[in-house]
Amino acid sequence: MIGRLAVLLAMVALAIAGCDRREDEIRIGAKNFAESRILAEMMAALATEQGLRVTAVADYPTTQVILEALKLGEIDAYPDYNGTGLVMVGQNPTSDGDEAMARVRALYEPLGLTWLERIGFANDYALVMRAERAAELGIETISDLVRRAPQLTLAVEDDFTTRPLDGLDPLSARYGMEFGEVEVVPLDERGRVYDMLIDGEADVAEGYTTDGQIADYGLVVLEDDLQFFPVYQAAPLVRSETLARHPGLATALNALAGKIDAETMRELNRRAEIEGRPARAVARDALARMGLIEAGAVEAVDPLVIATDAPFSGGALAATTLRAARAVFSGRDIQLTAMPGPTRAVLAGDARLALVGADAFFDLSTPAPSRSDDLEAVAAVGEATVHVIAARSNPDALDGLGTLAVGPEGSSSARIGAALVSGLGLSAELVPLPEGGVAALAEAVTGGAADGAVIVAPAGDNAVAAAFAGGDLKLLPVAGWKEGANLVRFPFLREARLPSGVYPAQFGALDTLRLQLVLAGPAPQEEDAIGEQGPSSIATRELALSDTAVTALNAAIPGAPRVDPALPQAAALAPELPSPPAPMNPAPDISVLSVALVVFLMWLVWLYMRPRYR
Amino acid sequence: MATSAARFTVNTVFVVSMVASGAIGIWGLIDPDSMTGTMLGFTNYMLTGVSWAWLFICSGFLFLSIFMAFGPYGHVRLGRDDEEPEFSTVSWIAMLFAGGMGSGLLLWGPAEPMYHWIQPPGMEGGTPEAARRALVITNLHWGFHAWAIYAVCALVIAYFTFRRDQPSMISTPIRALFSGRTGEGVGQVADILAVLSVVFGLAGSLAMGSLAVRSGMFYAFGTDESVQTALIILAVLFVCYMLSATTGVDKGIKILSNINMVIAIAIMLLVLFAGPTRFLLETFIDSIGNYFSSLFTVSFRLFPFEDLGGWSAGWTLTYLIWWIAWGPFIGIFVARISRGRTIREFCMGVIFVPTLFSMLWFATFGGAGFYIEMFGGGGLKEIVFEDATKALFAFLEYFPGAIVLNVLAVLLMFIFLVTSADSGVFVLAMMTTNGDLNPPAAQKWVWGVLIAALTAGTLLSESVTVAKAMAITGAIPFTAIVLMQIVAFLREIRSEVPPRVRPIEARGTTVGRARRAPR
Repeated sequence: MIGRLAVLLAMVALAIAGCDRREDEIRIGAKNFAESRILAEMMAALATEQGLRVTAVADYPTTQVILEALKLGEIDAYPDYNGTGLVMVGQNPTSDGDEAMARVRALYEPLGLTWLERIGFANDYALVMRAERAAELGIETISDLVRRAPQLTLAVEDDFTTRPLDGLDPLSARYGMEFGEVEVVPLDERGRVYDMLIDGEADVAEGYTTDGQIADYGLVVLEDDLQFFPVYQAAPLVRSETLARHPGLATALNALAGKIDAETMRELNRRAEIEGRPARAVARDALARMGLIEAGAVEAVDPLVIATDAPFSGGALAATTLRAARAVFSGRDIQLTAMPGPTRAVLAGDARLALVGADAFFDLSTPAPSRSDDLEAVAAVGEATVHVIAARSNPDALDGLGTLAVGPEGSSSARIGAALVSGLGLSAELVPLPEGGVAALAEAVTGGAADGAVIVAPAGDNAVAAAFAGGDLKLLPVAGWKEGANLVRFPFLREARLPSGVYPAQFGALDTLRLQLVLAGPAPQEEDAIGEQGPSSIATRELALSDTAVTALNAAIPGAPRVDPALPQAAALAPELPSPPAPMNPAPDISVLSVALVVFLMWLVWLYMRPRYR
Repeated sequence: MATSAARFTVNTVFVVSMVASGAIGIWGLIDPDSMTGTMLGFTNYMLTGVSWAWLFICSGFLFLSIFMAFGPYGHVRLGRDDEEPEFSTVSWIAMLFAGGMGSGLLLWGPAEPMYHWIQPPGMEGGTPEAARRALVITNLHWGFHAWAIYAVCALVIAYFTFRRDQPSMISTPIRALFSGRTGEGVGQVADILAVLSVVFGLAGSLAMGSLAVRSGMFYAFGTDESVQTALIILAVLFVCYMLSATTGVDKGIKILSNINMVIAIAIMLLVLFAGPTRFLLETFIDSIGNYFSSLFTVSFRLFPFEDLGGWSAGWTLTYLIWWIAWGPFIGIFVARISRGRTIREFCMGVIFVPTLFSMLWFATFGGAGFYIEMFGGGGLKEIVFEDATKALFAFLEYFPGAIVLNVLAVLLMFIFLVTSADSGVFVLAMMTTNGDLNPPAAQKWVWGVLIAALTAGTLLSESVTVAKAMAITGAIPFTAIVLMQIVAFLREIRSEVPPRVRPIEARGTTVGRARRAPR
């Protein structure tokens, strides 16, 4: 017993010691955006690996604040950029990295701060635009912006607005332009400038060249034709006194020297910013891959999978979905994965959500499709259009096609194909392809494997446009859908007209069908009053998304339309219906049961009260 | 073996319940849908139709046991007046805890508080207030009420067995309540019902438990989630619980229960000290105040105005009905190991100590989950809505030495199953040998094999609904039996304290003290 007590006391003592801030601990800071956090986490991991005691990385709001904290000894080290270093002591920045490094080392030495070896990449400022917006306005360089600037909105983070030499005001002064509106977001929500850009709230955004979003969203970087932005090469900035106290620290941190190029950093940023992984996990994973720390230290993060059809797994809607899911399920690694039968994956528990067309809620195997209530729509993401494509040489009518290529079984393409054949009484035979991407379907038509193909994708989708760019494909109209009982049989398909010019060489408006794209999750199981829980019970199937998650998802999807009323909706989305007055006794059988129970309880009381028989 | 076989008892209860369990088992195998439809339909109807009665009865059990502990009968010893307790207090508590709690304690540890925090009934989720409420609700489900149900079931049996030297049977109090042939008839029915509800309760729970261990092994070690794996788990389980049950209460069951307790405490301490210790202990202390101050309110809280009857049925009443379903076997088992304790000691040991432990448990696990969401990186709450088992192992990943925690967690889930099963088999053997306190091994074998067969059948049907239907259907008829037992007990115990009315003036000046008997 005394032994046990001693162990317990020892543990308590250890726990208390763990909370105590000790002088020999190294404190590492980060500016609060993903790249800085990743680098800071890397520095912390490398120092820890050398047996040094490191506290958790602390976030600081702006460069000025973190530099001040370093000077005051609040922190011992943080990752910074040599261009920033120059600007912060009032020097003109330069575009020559080596020169910048030499100057910054000399300037910071009297302050008691040491710049260690450069990490390898430069992260420069850039102005970025959406490709189509830039093309529309004919803008390629920052100088091109000058004339348009008063009509445009610029999105920046607040650190940029306060930088004395390379910030917003100096930039405006150098180019002689004034933006009509400037939207400022806090530094730690820097990703929002891209959201604003994508949502069209801003026309131009200030970004970093290592941002993962630039490649992901297909943004264009405007050329800095006056070379206003200097070079910003990343390197650890450490207090000299700390380096003297911990001789191993410089070696540990210099292990990073030249190890990370811009490409790698962009990928790491992408994983942190777009996939929403914790900076610490990203940093440790990268270091383990580089062999700088032990591989066993990589932390597994359980991913949240959103299953989808191949045609929906890229493009703007996919990006919107990912962004919304990332915002709602913070801390989870979100993966949007194309797989055959996304709804099956949700029901089997392999995926949490599915990004599917409205058709996925209906069983189309019977003449009168019935709605399945295993799934519920948790948010509407956008619209998809039914594209029936054929080779130019083929007839212009659907009933002239002998074979129709569709996606794998369970994909929207296969289901809509079946609906078209049965709804319009076509003679075409469906040819399911094992891989249902837009390119594969187009390939089947151009290669002659099928006369036509059914592609379900958002109107104007880049992949579909790319397929038309070859010039040997055409779109066929879906005519006469209203005839017969199709509108009743397939309530999720709505008639639509594709305006002319959506695709290259599409000269006239075209009648076709559209359907809503929704995020679907498992529907709550209603049939049992008895819950899934209990002392030895296990939950037998996926629970529905919580109401808060559903509400948050809808809030996170910009301009989210209402879910199509033909679909089963999550409880949080369903409108509240006025209830008719209830009858005075809604359940007479329950009344009888209750009376019987009361009589039983009274009989028990009588059993207790009655005199003894013996 | 030969001597045990000689004592093998075949009585009416044994034969009828054997035949009936076989019949129901075959029904479940041949037509699982109609079996589960009938059984769950009945339970659903009773649970939603007269929800008020279940809450009222179960809270009644709690207040009855408080009265027993602190009322005039607290000093009555369950045994002769000079008898010493059979087991040490530590082993006693370990055994009743291991028998009475399932692997659910582990599975729902992080999940349940999180669930109630995010979606509390009748208030906004995700707030600090909701976090407080979440722990109150969790403690309502796992705390005093659960143990009070067990305590009442056990107390009645223990009183008649050890104080009145009557057989340790469900029917004993009922025979005392009715005279002659009525008592005989009702008693037989009660015994058979109790045996059936233990058999199916145990088989259903074991099936679910095997599935839980299987999915635990999947998340911890990546083993297959196939029927074969579940059957292998069952085979190992069978060997373990038969070994434990045949060696008897004072060997196998006691040793295993102590191991179980040590592992449970080890996991809890690891989470407590490797996690945010100060936060967790603050959560624990905070939850004590909230739970105790709202105990009376939540004991009677239904949601007629919010129209949340579905929530009550799905959570609170589901838990209560589970505890009642386990009542017959935990009752007899706890009674069996409680010889020689006073009623006050019994109530404190069976209700108060385990409740405090589970409050600390949920404050630790639930609190650490809250901490991860409130101050840590987050990411746990959505997993809870996906799958509670997955959530447990994702939760353990947040701690250093997750491998050790994973192994301990799977091991603990398994041992919880074994310790529930061995006591169940032991109790069944007692129930079918007219209450033999050390029943013959052959009888244990018969029931052990039957339960394994039923569990295997359930696992092969791959339907958790079948398991659930089997596990909890017995609870509703058994409630009526318990109520009659309590009436009999309350009648009998009146003879314990002869009214000592003394003239007040003879005791001096203090009126209040005058009634107390001199020491």
